[in-house]
Amino acid sequence: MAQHRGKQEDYVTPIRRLITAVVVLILFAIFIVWRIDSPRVERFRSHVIDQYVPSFAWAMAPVTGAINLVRDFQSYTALYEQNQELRRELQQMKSWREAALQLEQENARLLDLNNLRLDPKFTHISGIVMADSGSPFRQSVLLNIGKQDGIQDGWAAMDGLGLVGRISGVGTRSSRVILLTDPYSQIPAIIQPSGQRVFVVGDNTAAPPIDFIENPDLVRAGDRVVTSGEGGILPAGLVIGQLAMDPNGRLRVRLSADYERLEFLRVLRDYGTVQISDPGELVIPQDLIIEAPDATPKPDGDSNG
Amino acid sequence: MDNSASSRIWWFRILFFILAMAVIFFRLLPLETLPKTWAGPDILCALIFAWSLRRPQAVPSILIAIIVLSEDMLLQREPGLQAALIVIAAAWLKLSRSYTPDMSALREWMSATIAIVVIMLSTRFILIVFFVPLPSLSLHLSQMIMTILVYPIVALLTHFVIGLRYVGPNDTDYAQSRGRS
Repeated sequence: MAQHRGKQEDYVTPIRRLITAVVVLILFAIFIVWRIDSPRVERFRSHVIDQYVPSFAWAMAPVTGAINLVRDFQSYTALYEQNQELRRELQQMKSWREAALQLEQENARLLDLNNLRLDPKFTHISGIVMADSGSPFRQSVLLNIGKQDGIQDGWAAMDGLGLVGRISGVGTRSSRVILLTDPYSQIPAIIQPSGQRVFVVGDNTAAPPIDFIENPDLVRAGDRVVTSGEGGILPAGLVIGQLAMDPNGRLRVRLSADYERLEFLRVLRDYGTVQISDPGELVIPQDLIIEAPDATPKPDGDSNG
Repeated sequence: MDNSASSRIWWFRILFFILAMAVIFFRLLPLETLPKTWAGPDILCALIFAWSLRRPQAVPSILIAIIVLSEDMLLQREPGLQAALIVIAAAWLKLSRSYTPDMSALREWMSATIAIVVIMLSTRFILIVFFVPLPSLSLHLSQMIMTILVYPIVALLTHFVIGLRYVGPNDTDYAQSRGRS
């Protein structure tokens, strides 16, 4: 009996190994295709996510809510201290509110004097955060709005307080926001009031460092960091955060947006952003390519004849 | 007997698929949007290794490939790389188990540890070779260590909750688990 089974194993095992080898080869091929033609595979990826993740939204929202409820319940133990702290903060806020009201009135007067109209293209669409990246190495969230709501790649996503990230990857019903903390995120910014142009480069920490600063002596902790709008990447003047210095002396941005809990994001409509559809356009923008003399014959005549 | 045993394998496969999808689902929940300084364990990886060591028939290579590839896609990883490495590692674990049918728990953990470490190292190596930006070493290392530590817990849970125990030579499904698919 045992021998009989041993014989059966002899032809099943090689087939199983062959299947394993073929599967591994296919997977490596997928990886290499991704490496060669990343935009296409990423488009496929956002299509896959668009197919599956929104269909689980009915389960995701209640489970997230339930877990957050339990967490909030745990934090009730620190309620008293939290209350005291909030009272103190409220005191400060009241004085700031007074200042803000006065400034708002002044601003309105000045706008009226100049007969200025705000740019109408900055309207926004609000979306709910459905899922996050799920991986500790990437920082992104998935919104429940997509192509059907008119979302386009490259638009800025903000919460009420400041810039959160930019759209990268749009499906029909969902879109991905690459957060400023993501290691792939690089945002051109300007430090006010010195006007230094820098890049805010995500590195998977809560406070992304700044890079390519020309003269570090001109800036100091507490300066405001806003988007510069260079290269048409994001609209100019969106608040990113405040400058801070970490213990190693490196300049970082303390983000204004509340990253602790991203629930709703507003996506700014901005039809001026640069669209990247080809890997080549990353290197040379389309309007810089000088058309070569047309040497290739038109294929139309051949196919008809 | 034959029929019921093979249908049981199919139930295990479906159960495994559901478990894996549940793990991915919980990872996608937007609970923590602040970057962390250390990474949690890769529970799916531990789960796959535990099942390949304990009930190899229930996790054929194709099933592992489908699950990890979809995880790669959903979690913004390099598609296919992690999947290929885990399929290779799982195949190696199945093979090493077939040579030593009565493996002790410690030895099982050692084999899983070797597989997890090799996967981490080869991921970094391949990413360097293909000029892909590397994830930070501290995060990657912490994920590896957490996965190694979580493996015994996952193995124990599958042992007691699902009843997935070693199929030894004296068990009735032993032949089933070795011979047929």
